[in-house]
Amino acid sequence: MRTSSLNEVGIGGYMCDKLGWILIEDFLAKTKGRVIGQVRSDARIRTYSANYKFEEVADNRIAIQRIDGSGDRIEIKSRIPIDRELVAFFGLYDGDGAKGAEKPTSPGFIHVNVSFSQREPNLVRFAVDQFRRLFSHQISFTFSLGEDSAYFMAGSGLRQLENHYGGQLPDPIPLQDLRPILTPADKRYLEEPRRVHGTNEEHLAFYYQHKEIMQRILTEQKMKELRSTGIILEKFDRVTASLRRPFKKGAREPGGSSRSDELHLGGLNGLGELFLKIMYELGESILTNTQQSPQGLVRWNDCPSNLGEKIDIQDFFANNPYGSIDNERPVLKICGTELRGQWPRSIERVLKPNFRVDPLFAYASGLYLAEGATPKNELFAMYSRRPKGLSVEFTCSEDEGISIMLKALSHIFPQKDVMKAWKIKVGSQYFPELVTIGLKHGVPMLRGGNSGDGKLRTMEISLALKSWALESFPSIQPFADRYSHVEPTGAGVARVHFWASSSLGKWLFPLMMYTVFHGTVTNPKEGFIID
Amino acid sequence: MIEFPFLPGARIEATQLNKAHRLWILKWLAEIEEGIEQFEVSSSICLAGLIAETWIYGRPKTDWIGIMREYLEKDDLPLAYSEEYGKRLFKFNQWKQSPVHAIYARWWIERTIEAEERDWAQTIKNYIQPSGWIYNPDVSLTNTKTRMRTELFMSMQMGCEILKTYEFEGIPTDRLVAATISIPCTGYVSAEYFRYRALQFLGATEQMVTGIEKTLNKLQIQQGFADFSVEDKIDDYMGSKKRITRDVAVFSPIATLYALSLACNLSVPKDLIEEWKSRVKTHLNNDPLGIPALHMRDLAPEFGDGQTIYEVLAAAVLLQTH
Repeated sequence: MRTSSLNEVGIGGYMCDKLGWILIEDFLAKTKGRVIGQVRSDARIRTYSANYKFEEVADNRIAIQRIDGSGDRIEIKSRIPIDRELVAFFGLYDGDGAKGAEKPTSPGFIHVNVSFSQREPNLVRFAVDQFRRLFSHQISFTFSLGEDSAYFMAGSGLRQLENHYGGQLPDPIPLQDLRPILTPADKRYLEEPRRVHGTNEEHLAFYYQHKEIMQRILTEQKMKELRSTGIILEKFDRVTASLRRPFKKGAREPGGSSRSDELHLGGLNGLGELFLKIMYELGESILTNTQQSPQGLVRWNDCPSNLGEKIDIQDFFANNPYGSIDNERPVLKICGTELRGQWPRSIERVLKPNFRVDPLFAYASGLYLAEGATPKNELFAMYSRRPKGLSVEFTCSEDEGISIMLKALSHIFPQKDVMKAWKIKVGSQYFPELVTIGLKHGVPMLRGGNSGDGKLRTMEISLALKSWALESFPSIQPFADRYSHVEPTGAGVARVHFWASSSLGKWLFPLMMYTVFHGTVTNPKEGFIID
Repeated sequence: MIEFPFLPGARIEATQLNKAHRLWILKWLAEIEEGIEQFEVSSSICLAGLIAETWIYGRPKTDWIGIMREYLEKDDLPLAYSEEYGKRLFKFNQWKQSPVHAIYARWWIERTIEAEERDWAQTIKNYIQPSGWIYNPDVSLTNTKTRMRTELFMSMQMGCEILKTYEFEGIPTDRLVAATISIPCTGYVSAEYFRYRALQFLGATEQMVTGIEKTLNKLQIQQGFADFSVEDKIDDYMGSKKRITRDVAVFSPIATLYALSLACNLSVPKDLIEEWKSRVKTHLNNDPLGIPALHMRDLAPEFGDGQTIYEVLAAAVLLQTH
């Protein structure tokens, strides 16, 4: 067994505060190159597997490729040192990264391509840096902006399109002139009913008449945004736009946006399964606080909770650049055994005086930046202006995510403060199920709010789902009495959403930002890109 | 005979019950008794409680009207939930609500036990919207387009049933009929059943929308019927089918009662109806409590209960009358 020494030169060539190792070569040798595992996401349990061949190359590196020779061959370190940025990156990928697409011919089995969905420029830059640290320059990036073409039918999208044509759109061309022969997808589109103004023929004609121009506008927009983030495109990196037929991506009305930003990785074909395995082994060992991950792919230098930088909370908020918000700092004082802190114009909170940036907090920080409900731009802007809406809210369809987040909050706050209340969000796909549950209790499903996405008014349905949530998400069981309601939403499986007092945000977010970005951004007031 | 449209065919009198159903209902009655003593009660519990007690004992044994007057009334309006019941959810301030089904529960119980009836028709009249739909906007301002179809039709049926006892005095019934037929066939058996019953009370069943037979065929599953078809889960805006490979519609005695009631009233061939009846009876005779719960994709915990008081009552009706 190899031993590790402290302060070894890490991936990317800089000195890192090592927490442990990803033992790629040892793992592949032990499993004879076979990688197999389960992905639990969106209430689905799916299997992935791949067989790899690997060989040692120079400088303690190994070359890995699928055993059948398909996909890419990539060289990586045989043992990858883990620092907290890498842990945070996997947390971020857990939230925003692709977990694989189901094979149409084998339900329940997935193939995995590494890609990442995120728009926030600082997070995209962080992810790109981490991918390059892991895989050096053997990989390339395709930055893709996806949009519903209905965006260009009204509002700012239409204005951009008009500007492109010199102020006015050309006269509409009939669909039969644009596409004399329709594709099967076109035919399906024309047959589908949708509750929007105008006809399917008109919408499809609009799409084909302006498709190239719309794509060009989106590509230029993405290029401009990337330039502002400071991401330098390398030789094989590309920027593309992916445009969907009107209303097929999620726009609810002309001019409505359903933008998505994807980061696809080239050069990693066939290696997605290994990447996922690393992420899940890392996450599992963090959650169970064990020095070695279930299959030994990850080995920490100690129990994960004993690792990481120790922070004196009083000192952090008094002196650290990350501990200041809009040039203000809180007042902290010890009262008996308690540390109490108060930000200007905020309520006093009890805090734990000593805090450790352990792997769990690092993973949770990345995961929250990906999935937390707090407006991301506020998290990056809070160092240079007064932030708005620093709510602490988190939604997840798996217990692991909820559990990690609750544990991270309890690193800083007393257990009673980490959750104010929780609810169950249910996407429209499962409204028929909610109606059935209502009927089983003799009542109709009464929605709340103007558009119906407020608090469900039917208590019987909310109460009927409480035991489902407590069983599916055991980590919320201590907070069973804080269950508030079911909330119908646009899309998604049934999932738990919890929130804590917003006044916790000013304590939590500076520590999370420090955890993720301290290694790359020394001065948070100037180092982040702000809209 | 007093009718209870929520359970078509149910007799409100002492009833011979399958042993499994009887035991299940007795257990449920014992559970709600505890809740009621803590003032935790809902209008739907009162309705089911009255029917369950009548079936088991031949008469209601609980002072349901007293409970409704004491815990389920505020500002002269029936409430769906008592204040204590509202506390079952954390800070759920919306517990104080008077939807149509709460008015209906009060009205139906008053009539059934021949208590002094209040003029609930006036309340229902106040709930009639310019669109012709009947609902209480104070419960929620949700626009008609995003209200659930079953809610709209169930409230229409309940409202019309109350209004009919007053001969629709001063009500332009055409407006109610127009609203009731303003939505094409929904694909949900409960929605179509309540639509049909509303039209019955309005004396306008000839206006019933088409496509019900096709819907019933789609909603058939092994043991009986489900309320919805998984294949018909379509996004309202995108128009495309949802990812439904893991979704499963399950047998529901209530949905089956509605399907059979619709089938008997529409032009479904009798031999087909008999086949459906026979299939569900066989299932319930073999397994009286074989009422499965829904699931959220691959997750093992049940997504809501399978057996509930209304489902067990419906299963008993299916065994008695079909």
